Amino acid sequence: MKQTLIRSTLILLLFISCVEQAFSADERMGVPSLEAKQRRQAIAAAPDGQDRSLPDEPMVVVKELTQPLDPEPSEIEKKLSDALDPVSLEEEIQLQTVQSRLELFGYDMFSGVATTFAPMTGAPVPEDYIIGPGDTFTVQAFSATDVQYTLTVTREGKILVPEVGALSVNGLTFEEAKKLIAESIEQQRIGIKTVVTLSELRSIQIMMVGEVVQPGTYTVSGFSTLINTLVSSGGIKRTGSLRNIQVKRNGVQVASLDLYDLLLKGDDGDNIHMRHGDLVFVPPIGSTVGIAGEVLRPAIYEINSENNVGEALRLAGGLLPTADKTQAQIERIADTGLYTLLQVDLFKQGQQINIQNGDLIRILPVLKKMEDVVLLSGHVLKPGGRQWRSGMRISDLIASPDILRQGAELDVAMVQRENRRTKRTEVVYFRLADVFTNYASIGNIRLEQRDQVIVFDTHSPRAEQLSTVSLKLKRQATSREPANLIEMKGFLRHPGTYPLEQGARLMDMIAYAGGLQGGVDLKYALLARTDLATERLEFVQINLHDALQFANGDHNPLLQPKDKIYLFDKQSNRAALLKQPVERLKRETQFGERAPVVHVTGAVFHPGAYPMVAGMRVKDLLLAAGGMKEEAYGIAATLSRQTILDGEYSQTDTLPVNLINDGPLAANRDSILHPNDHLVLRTKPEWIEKPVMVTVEGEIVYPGKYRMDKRDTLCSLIQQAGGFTDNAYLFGTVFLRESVRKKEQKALDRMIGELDQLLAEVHLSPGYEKDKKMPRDHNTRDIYEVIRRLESPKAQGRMVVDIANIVSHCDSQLDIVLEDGDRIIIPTHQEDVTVVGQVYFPASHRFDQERGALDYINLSGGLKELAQREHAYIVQANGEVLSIRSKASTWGGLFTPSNVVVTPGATIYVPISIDRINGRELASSWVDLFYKLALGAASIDFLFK
Amino acid sequence: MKRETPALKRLNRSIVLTLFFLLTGCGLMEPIPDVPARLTMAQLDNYDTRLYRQPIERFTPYRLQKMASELHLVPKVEQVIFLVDGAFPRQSHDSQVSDNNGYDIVRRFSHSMPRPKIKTVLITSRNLAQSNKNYNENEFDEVVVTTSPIDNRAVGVNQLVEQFLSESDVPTAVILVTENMAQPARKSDITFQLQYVVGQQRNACFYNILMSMRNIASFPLEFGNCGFSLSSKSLSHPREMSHFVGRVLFKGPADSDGDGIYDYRDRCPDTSVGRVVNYDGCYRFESGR
Repeated sequence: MKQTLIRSTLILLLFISCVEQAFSADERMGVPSLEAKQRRQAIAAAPDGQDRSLPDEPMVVVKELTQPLDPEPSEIEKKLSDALDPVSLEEEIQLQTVQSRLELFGYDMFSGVATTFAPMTGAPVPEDYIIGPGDTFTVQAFSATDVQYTLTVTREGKILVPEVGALSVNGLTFEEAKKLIAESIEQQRIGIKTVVTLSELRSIQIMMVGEVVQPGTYTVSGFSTLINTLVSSGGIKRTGSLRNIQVKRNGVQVASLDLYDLLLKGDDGDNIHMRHGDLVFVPPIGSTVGIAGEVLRPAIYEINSENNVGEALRLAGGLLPTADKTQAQIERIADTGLYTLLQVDLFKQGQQINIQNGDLIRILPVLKKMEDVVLLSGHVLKPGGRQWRSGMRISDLIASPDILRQGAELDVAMVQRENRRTKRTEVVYFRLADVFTNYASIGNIRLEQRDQVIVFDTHSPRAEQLSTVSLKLKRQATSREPANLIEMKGFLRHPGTYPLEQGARLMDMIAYAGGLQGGVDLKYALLARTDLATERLEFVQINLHDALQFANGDHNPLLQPKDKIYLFDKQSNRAALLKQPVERLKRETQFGERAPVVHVTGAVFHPGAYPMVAGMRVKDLLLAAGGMKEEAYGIAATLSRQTILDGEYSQTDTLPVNLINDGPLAANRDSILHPNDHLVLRTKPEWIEKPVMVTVEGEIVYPGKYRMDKRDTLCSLIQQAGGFTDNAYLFGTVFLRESVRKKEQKALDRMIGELDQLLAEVHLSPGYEKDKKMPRDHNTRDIYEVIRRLESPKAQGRMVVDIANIVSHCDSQLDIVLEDGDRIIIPTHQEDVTVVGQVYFPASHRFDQERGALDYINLSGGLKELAQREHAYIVQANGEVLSIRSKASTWGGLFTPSNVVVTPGATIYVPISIDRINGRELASSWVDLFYKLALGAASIDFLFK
Repeated sequence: MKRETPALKRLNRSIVLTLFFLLTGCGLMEPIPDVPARLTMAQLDNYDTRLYRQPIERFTPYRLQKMASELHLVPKVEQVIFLVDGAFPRQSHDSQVSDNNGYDIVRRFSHSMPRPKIKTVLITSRNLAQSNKNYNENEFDEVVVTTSPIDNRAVGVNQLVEQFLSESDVPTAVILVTENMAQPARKSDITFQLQYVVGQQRNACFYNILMSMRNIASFPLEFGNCGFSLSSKSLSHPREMSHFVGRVLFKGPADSDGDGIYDYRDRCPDTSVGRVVNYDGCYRFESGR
């Protein structure tokens, strides 16, 4: 009875204390407990109002991960990815920059983990767990009757086991307690088996103070270690130390945790289990050192025992492979209060340099520059980087022609080299063919580190392949050291801009540009040199003959940067090529100077403006102009010279220059030219550019083509051709002339054009008589049909000549000077007269002396109704066209058609009455055209009958 | 007949008045340009104040002496023959033009020649001696007065010149001062005859000075002659005359080493032939063959 009373009181007490404790926890803090807070948060975070019933068990809210799942590539990844690009000799400027911001190391440990302090109910209880008040044991006893007790350790540290009594378990480990309970029960009751487990762990209260996120008292699971506690309480503020976390128990410091050991080494030796009433103190952060740059974890580290750079770098995970170990920098606040910079060679003094609070260690990256490499590029099968070794030659890189692509240029290839001393890019050209034939040849040059061998091809423009080199050279140019580039223009296989090889001569560079081509003008080439000091352009005339003959001669000079070489051929336009430099010469000429430009025009192959060279003579200018033409008048060319008199007054003199013989007094080929001279070559007098060829056909003794001189006439032609045959019908001679034909054709085309326009206008405007407006579709089709037929009338170009008279007299008044392309056709005697047009039976009739024109018309059946007899005309055999109503008529009144004399071979044409076709007022204006057309056709027709 | 209503009349009157004021107002406001009467060429000549209109007394010769020595001019001829008739220009276009213009050209030439003067011969007609008050035969080494006028009616003048040239076998300049021919020249003209005669000689040059009112362009003569023709207008200023004298008397600056750079600016006077030189006459390129 007493026992039960005691037991019940105890239980009551225990209950009260528990309740009190539970209440007091809330009351004492005065703030909502973390659990409550979380619950509120969970309610707030609940998807909707239906799910209000929260489970009693505490929610584990996992914060969102602060880091994305696919994080940024690490430093090592980045560096190596960069190196994946093909080998290149490009140098990037290595900026002395490191990360733009650093964070304190280790604090992210507290972010992104569960912040609940839920006891770890599921975990097995460690054997060394120290039992204390509040732990609850579950004891099961198996015997005749199975009993189960739930026993809680009392505040005194005892458990009250029924039928056994109080057992003092406080301070025992779980192992020991288990044994004690089991033994105690088993001793009391023989034959019973017990299983003792710890069903509920006690909650302990600890206090967290110092630089923690949420200081205060926490109720945590009795299992909790220091780290659990720290993590679950929200962690340490960034102002708190990670390295000296102190646990005080009853006022005595029992542990000091260095989280870096855990984070860096995984060592949790100091991670003690918390006891009830422990105080966790996080002191403020101690000395810090920033480590930035090429380290594994650039961050700010708290230093504890580390006192030199080497140890500090170990904290940061060590150097990256790309770190420049020789050139680390420490920024330090010196005693003077100013920032100083220490340069540290990590190889040598890494362990010796002490670090101080506030240091910033900056590890710079190594230069991204490949040494010990040569690059093969251009027209090869496998371009790319190759290993360089000392003594390497071209032949080691290009062992055989097999690695070259089809069409590779063997005559010249280039090495782009970095001068180690001057830091300038240089080029060396060599003959690739030499390399394959002879190892010891000059072309098999020794390669240096970071050389780039460029193999050209024969077909594509070389300047394009060289553009990167050229650009590089151009960029490195300074005013003192101009870009080592020359330009080659004109008649070259590969004109363009070329890097200049040190010590290269003119012919060398020409060879590099594909060499001289056949047809190049060997007597005249130009070297445009820019004076490097004054930037003035100066020309040198180059004789390539001389240059080929004398390798060290004046005409094969050493080239210098900015030189321009102009090569010419016989055909192309030199003046156009030289236009720009000549303009520049003129532009650069200042007051008091004369523009060094000379001109040549007239009978030379390439007239134009040429740059003057020092000591230039007339013969040099003639060479520049490609020489004199066949027709040039050599005795007297004109040299116009602008002379400055008395300093300021200019006057133009005209000098006769004798280009063939050297009179002692006259200016000649050797005369020295002055700036702005203008040589004009005349054409020989009476020069025949194109011979006059005429054709005689028909009834002539020697028909054929004849070449005539400038003033030869028809009469002399007939004499040359042996005169006429007996059958010749001189009256019907056809004289065709090209210039006349062109004139006629032009007139004809114009007439047709006018007609076209006329018709178009007529269609748009009403006629004179407004009520008789022509229907749109009526007759128009016919008119257009007519025009279409007229579209391509060909003028004949016939001239009416009285050949019989000309030949019989050979009189210069009547005679005709022949032109090129003249064609004279002497027909045979004609016996017929043709009547065409609006007669009933158009036919030919035998010529009869007695008959007149009207007789022939009547012989053809007479005029049709549509005939317009007023406009009938006759085309005589000699091409003359007479209206039947003309004055030459033998009889007839004013309005009656006359009966004109008809000659054999004549054609009588009776036109259709235009008025009757359409009755248009304007149509009569194109009767004229019909007339002309018919004339042209009829005048020749009889020849081809 | 139509009757005009008074309203229409009033309208008409107001229109007329408005137009009147509009026109007169505009006319008053517009600046009237002062357009002179059209200038004839003769009037243009009046503005010509060239020095040759002034008498010979005012002519200050621009002596070639200094230039010849400075520029190392190479003499071309040793004798100058002038042919001038005193009678032209016959037509006086201008009151300022003196009748002895042709002779003035010769005198100015003579005055401009560097000292010591080379031999000068004057072939002239009687007209000159009679008409010209400035005529002074002592200015010339030799004076031949022909009976024939020295113009296109000349007889025997070309034989005279031929004789001179063949007698003294020295380089000679023959200077003919003639009137400008308005019509195309004929082969019988004295210019053509003399040109042919002089052109036959290897060491003589023929120059033709054309007296004219217009500044005609000079042109070289035919037959491979080393001379040329020019207008007297282009000789009016002393500097122009001296330039012409220089062209007649001198070949040009000397170039003793034949590198194409005149001696007076040749800093390296002994360059070898065939080498490329610069404007200073020195080797353009250091190395050479």
